[in-house]
Amino acid sequence: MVQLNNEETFEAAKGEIDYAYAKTGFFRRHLDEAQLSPSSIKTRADFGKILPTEKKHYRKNFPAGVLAEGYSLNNKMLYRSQSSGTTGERLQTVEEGWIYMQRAVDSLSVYPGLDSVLTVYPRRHIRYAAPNCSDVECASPNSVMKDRILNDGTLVLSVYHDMLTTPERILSMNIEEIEEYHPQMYYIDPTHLAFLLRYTSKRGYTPRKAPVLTSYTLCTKTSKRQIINVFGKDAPVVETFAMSEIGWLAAECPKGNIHLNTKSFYMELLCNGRNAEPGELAELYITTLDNGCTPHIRYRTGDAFRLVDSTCRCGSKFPVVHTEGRLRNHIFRDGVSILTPKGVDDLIDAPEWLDLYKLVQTDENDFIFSFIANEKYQDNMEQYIKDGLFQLLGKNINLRMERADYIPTERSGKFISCVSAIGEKLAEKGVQL
Amino acid sequence: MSTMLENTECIDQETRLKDFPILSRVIDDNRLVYLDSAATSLKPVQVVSEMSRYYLEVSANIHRGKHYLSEEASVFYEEGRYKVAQWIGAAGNEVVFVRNTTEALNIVAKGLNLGKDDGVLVCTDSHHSGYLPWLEKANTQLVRIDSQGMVDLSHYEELLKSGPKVVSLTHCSNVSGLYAPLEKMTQMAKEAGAIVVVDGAQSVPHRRVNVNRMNIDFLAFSGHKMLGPTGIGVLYGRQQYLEKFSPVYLGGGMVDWVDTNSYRTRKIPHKFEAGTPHIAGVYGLVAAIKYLEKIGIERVEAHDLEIGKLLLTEAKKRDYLEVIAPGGNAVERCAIVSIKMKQHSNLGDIARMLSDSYGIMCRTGHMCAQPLVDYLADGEILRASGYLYNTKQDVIDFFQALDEIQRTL
Repeated sequence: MVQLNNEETFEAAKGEIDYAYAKTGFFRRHLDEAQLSPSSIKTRADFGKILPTEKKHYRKNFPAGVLAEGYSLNNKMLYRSQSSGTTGERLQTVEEGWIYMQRAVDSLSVYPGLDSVLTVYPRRHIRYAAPNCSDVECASPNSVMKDRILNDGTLVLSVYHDMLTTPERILSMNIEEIEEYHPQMYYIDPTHLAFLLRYTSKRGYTPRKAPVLTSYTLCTKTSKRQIINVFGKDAPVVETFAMSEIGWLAAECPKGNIHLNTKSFYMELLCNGRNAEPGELAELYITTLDNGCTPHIRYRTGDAFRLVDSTCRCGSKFPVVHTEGRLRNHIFRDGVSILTPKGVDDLIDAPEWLDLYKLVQTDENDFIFSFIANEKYQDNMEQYIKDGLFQLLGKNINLRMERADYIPTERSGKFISCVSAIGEKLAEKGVQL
Repeated sequence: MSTMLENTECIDQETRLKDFPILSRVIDDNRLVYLDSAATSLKPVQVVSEMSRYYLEVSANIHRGKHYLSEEASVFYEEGRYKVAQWIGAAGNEVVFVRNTTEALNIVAKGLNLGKDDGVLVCTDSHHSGYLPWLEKANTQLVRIDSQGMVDLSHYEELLKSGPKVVSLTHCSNVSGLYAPLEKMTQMAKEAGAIVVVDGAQSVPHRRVNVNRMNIDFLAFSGHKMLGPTGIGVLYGRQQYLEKFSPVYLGGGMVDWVDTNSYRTRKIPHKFEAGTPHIAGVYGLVAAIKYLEKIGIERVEAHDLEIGKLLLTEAKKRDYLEVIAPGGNAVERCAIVSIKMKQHSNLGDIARMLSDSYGIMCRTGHMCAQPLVDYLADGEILRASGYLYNTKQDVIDFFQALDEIQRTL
């Protein structure tokens, strides 16, 4: 059995339970209702008796039930994350800004030298991802650069909510702003950056090189190929994994492996309610360790991983995992996850003719695979994807292959490469691996 | 009416009756045969259920609040826009929700800011909605059609030499049911430097229209002719044009900023959607598209052509009928036939008899295309129009009813 967390981390997790029980009404009730108390949690097996917490708990109990006593929402040192929507994704969370930063630094410690880019001052980072606002109420095409430089020195590049509808004048503005800002780092959604780079490549322009940290959505091989084609030789392209309410959870090392940040969190990979064996598909649960503003105990991330039972040549002690994508985006048949977004991506790989793709499971047996191809595409080049999907999903599916000129983003503004209506419904019902 | 034919089924009989309960209605012991889909289609349960779901379970306004229900409605409404965009090969922000095809075409005619010196070519087989907005704004010229009802392409080519600013095309005539050679006509218009506006009210319900691949600048269609609700339609407009258009209506929901002296409109498409829109209509329209997708639009198209062919064949068999715009051999015809009875001019009477004595619903009149109908028929016509829920038996029943009536005249 691979041990994700050491004893020191487990002791810290117990300390967090004491803290959350003493300081938050929600967690006190949560333990009381299960007839548990902090003093009854002595071993890891005891820890497993605590019922997992979910977004809905933090949504329903915000702020009064989850904000630790002594904190005020008006505290200027607090960072507030907010996600809209109607599904289980809707959530507000506050946490101390330095805690988010420490989690990021700890995560990126697997990439020596790069973690310092996070703390450099003055900061000139560029963020390019789905706007943090409603499509209709802002994402205004009229903003100028100074409107979009955050207090911490991050320049947020303008992009439309529905990424592919971003007009050329805004893309041109992006280029000018990158040129002027001299970024030390790009913190981007890989689908978004790949989109911008397709535009810059067509115009023969190469953006200023700087390390690229990908986040927000699964970094598909197709997007990564397009980014590495531009940045790869001169700047690292590093996958990171974060949640808006928690912060950074994992990052890629120079050897190309993803490491979980087991310094900032007590982490569990669970399937069928038990700790997963290496290679098993499992959901990540995290417990915070900081005695901060919003403690999270056995919090379901909704993200799936597979633990890798080997140490990494990079030398990091953090466990290595394969990312598999959000549970709600898995392809389900008969109530069972049979294909993950990463599995789809592995099938597709990164052919030079492909710019963007999306697989949608619209019903139990119905699938649409849409793709945007470039000038290198020739007839039927996608046949292997069709064959592979039939092989992975079963011969009795209805699969429509569509070459498209446009594929919309989700309403969140993110472009999710694999979406499942069945997965969404099951996730709403609390499906577990 | 004893002749029984195998259905050319788009949907099986059980599904047909389950999804369209109206088809189980009996009027004076006659089963209902609905052959007026070119006016408006029947609505399946799935569409009505989605609209009910909106009113009964969501009900909130869109883009006007942070509460859960408002977010839910807003997300669904905007996802509906994406759905429509993908249906026609457009981008999400190029889809404007309007009331119907008529409103969409009026917005285009107004938005292009034409003067009386600007030329607009309009086909003679246009619906009034595709004709009057241009007649009002510009120097409108009609492209002739031939006696078969087809667009006279040589006349079209000739008129294009005058350098019209706009060409307004009817993809499928609501009178003749004939499809225009849209891709060819679009290409010719583009070569002449014209903006291409397409009335897709009768075509989008039956076949895939991809605006990008067909190089269409504006496309208009209505939800209610494609299984969706009334009161919701779509204007597709190429981004470069929509951005330059001024909104027709001003008010809530279409501005980013307002002070005492000025305002700044939202970006497209929202600047065209002032006031509370037909939210339930979008729910219904999305359900309609999903319904068509489930069947497969290729299957819908094949059924449409087959019913169209049968309508024409059966009409031609009867000496007492005159087919309006029969089209040539190679012409594609949708499930529409318009006819006259040689010995009887009061077709309103006939339509009433078909309805009351046989349970068959079809339409008479000028079909909102008076210049065409006057030219081809010199008076009113009788039109039978089908859709995916119609069977060959419906067509046979229609003609056998006409035969019976004819014997009494």
